[in-house]
Amino acid sequence: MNNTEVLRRLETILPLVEKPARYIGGEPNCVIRDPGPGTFRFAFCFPDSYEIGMSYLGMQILYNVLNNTEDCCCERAFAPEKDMEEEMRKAGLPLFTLETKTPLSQTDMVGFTLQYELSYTNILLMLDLAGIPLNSRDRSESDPLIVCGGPCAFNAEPLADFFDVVMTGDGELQIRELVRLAQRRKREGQTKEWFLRKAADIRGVYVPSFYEPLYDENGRYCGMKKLWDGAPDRVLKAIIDDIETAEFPETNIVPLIEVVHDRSVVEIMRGCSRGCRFCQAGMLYRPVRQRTPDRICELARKQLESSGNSELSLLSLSTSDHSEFEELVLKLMDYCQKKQISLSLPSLRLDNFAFKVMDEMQRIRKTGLTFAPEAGTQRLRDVINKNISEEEIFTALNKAIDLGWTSVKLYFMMGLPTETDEDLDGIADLADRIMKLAIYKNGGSRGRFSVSVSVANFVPKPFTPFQWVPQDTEKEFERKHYYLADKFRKLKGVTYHYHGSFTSRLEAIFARGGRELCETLRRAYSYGCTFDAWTEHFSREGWERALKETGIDDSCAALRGFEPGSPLPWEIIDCGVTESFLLREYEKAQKAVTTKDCRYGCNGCGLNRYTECRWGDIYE
Amino acid sequence: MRYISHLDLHRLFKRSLKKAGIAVDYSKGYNPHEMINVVQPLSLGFESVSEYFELETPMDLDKDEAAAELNAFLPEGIKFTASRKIPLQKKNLSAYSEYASYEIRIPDGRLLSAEKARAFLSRDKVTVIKKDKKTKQPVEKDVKNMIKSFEPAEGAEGEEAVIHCLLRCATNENLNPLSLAESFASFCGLSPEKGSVRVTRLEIYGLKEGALVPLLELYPGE
Ligand code: SF4
Repeated sequence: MNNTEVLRRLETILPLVEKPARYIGGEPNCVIRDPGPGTFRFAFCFPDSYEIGMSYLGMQILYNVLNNTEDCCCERAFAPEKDMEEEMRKAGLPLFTLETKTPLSQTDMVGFTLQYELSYTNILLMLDLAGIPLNSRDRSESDPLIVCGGPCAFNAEPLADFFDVVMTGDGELQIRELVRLAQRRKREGQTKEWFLRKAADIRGVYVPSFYEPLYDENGRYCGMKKLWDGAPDRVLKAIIDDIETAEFPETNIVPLIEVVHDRSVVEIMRGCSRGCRFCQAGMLYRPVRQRTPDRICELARKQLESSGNSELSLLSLSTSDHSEFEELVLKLMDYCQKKQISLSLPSLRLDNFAFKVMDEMQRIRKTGLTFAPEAGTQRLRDVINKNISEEEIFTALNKAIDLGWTSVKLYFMMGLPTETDEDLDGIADLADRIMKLAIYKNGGSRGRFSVSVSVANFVPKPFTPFQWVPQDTEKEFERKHYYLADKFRKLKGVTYHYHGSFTSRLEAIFARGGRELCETLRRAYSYGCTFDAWTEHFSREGWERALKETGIDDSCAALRGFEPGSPLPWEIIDCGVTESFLLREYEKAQKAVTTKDCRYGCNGCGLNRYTECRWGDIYE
Repeated sequence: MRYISHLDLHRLFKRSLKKAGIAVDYSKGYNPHEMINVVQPLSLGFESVSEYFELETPMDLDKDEAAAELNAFLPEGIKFTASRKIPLQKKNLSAYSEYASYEIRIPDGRLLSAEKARAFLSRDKVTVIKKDKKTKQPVEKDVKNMIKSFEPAEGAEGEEAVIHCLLRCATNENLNPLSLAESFASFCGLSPEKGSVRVTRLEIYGLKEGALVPLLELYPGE
């Protein structure tokens, strides 16, 4: 089907669907090129809605890199909502790229970003709607290459059947190298096998079809067998030594409809040195790398000027940890005030400087003050190495209330290793004491003050010190939720939110599961499961059936955990952090011993074997 | 650009102005907002070849340069084709809009004709189905006095029926061309599929010395 026919069919169904602008492209700053015959065509796929995908910076970064690669043009596709999916099927319209309305099946490479486990069925949805065979082995030489990257690519085993190539680590340089290789294949008329063998040499690239997972008689993963001798024993993630010079977009696509975040975003820092033991991002993106304040300001200015945005936000895992943070913020504040831009500083540590900033910034909404203690007692916070004390919280709170803030949001997890009911009591107790303080400061009445407590279910992730631990059972999660809900019912002005435990269980299964899950996923999709992260679309029946039929139950390793030292389904990937470091951290956790932030001294996680940790060991 | 809503269009203009470095005045009062206005915004899914957008700026702008600057950013399908400097008025331009002309295309036009249109209009009441604002229930409403003209276009043969019409389009009274088209189609015994009727606004008219003229002509200039 050619572009004109796609467009014609699209025109007939657009009036029938909600928010048709999700499917039309043509936004300011999007790159629409007339691809010549020699042009390499890359379809960047975000396996969730347009609104979510367009708020994700990583896509804009790679879109920019790819469109700046010689003879390459990158276009976008998102998962169509259910109403659109239905109309597309009725009209026989295959999934197409927004820019030129080219069917995905006619591009050269289709790349998915894996941001969260609950988007996996949408990958199958998109391939299926594109008319591309789901399984790598069923695709022909002329089908597009299907590749992926993103944090979940560090354990892509549950998707291994579907992808030809998995990319781990920093994507900017690696993706270009991969595209160049694919261009060469096209030029020289080489086979897919030729391409895959050469691709396996690229740093961070994992080719699942070169390996076969082995299982013991109990169905447990017990090792990887190489199917081609030339394949690497382990795949080390790609690392960019310095992000100051890394390519970063200056003109971002501006959505025509409202998306989740409508703002310019500059990544100021990659990686985090704090070492929270539950946090996968903190391990995967090591070591810390920074952009200089000058570079950040320049990027911010260019992005704002080219988009007409009126909000600027900074991206990093821990904003306040930038070594020149104060200078940076003062600079940005100055610029934003002149240009009437509102500046938002996420994950800001609430110290004196933060309050000074917030006080000076105009148009700041004095509502939500956010803390993420993650655990209810100091003991458990020590276990997870979350470095925030009650003293810090209350000092900040005292100040915030004086400045007129009227609501506090608290984020916790439940089901953390070594957790007891006492730790849950600590959650309710903290909320209670915060409320009491507010009442006291308000002369005895609550006024408009409110506290909102959000408790997520802990999902153990690969490449963290908790990668071996079991997840709480669904029953145990439910019990704890009732236990907490009961406590919160007695607290006036405090609201309590929690997450469904079944979906957390699914997340755990796919986070730590192996290749056996490909079949589970195929079945779940065939039973109508898509958009699993959306409560209104989630089909528990579909998932239960798929899990049952493929023999995945409470006894699977992904839920029950692993013995330290035993084979792990994701061990083929090397994220740079050594297993011995993770184990050391795990053992310290059990004794509730903390580990310092590695800016205050290297903890020997192993990253410095591959790159220089410029921001390691910089403080006394 | 059929598929973006009024609110999205509004945001797009705000953003384009920011990008072009054009400052706008703010309204006075408790909740100040930008003094920009899309005149009689269209419903989602309608097309148009003549829309009006007004803004109040403290700057001394070259109006054509400003329009070109905005056009450079706007997506394909939205373009400033003319610009005028107009005197500061108490009310915004929407208040001067009286009528609008539309072209309506109905896919299965076999049963439609000029004759049928005459019969349709010559009844005592010409009703459309509207949703009641309060109860959200569909109710019939007589709109006969809101129709200035309603004619299947000359020589429109073949499959698609093309109707040109001039309908009330004022702040207090507005006739949706789609509801009228649906009412006419059902009068003719047709029930076009949802989404298959296409509406294009051709012009918005105001009153000048007793005659209807395109809004732009209220403000002569080059
Ligand atoms: S090697 Fe040392 S300094 Fe570098 S990230 Fe690991 S702990 Fe931090």
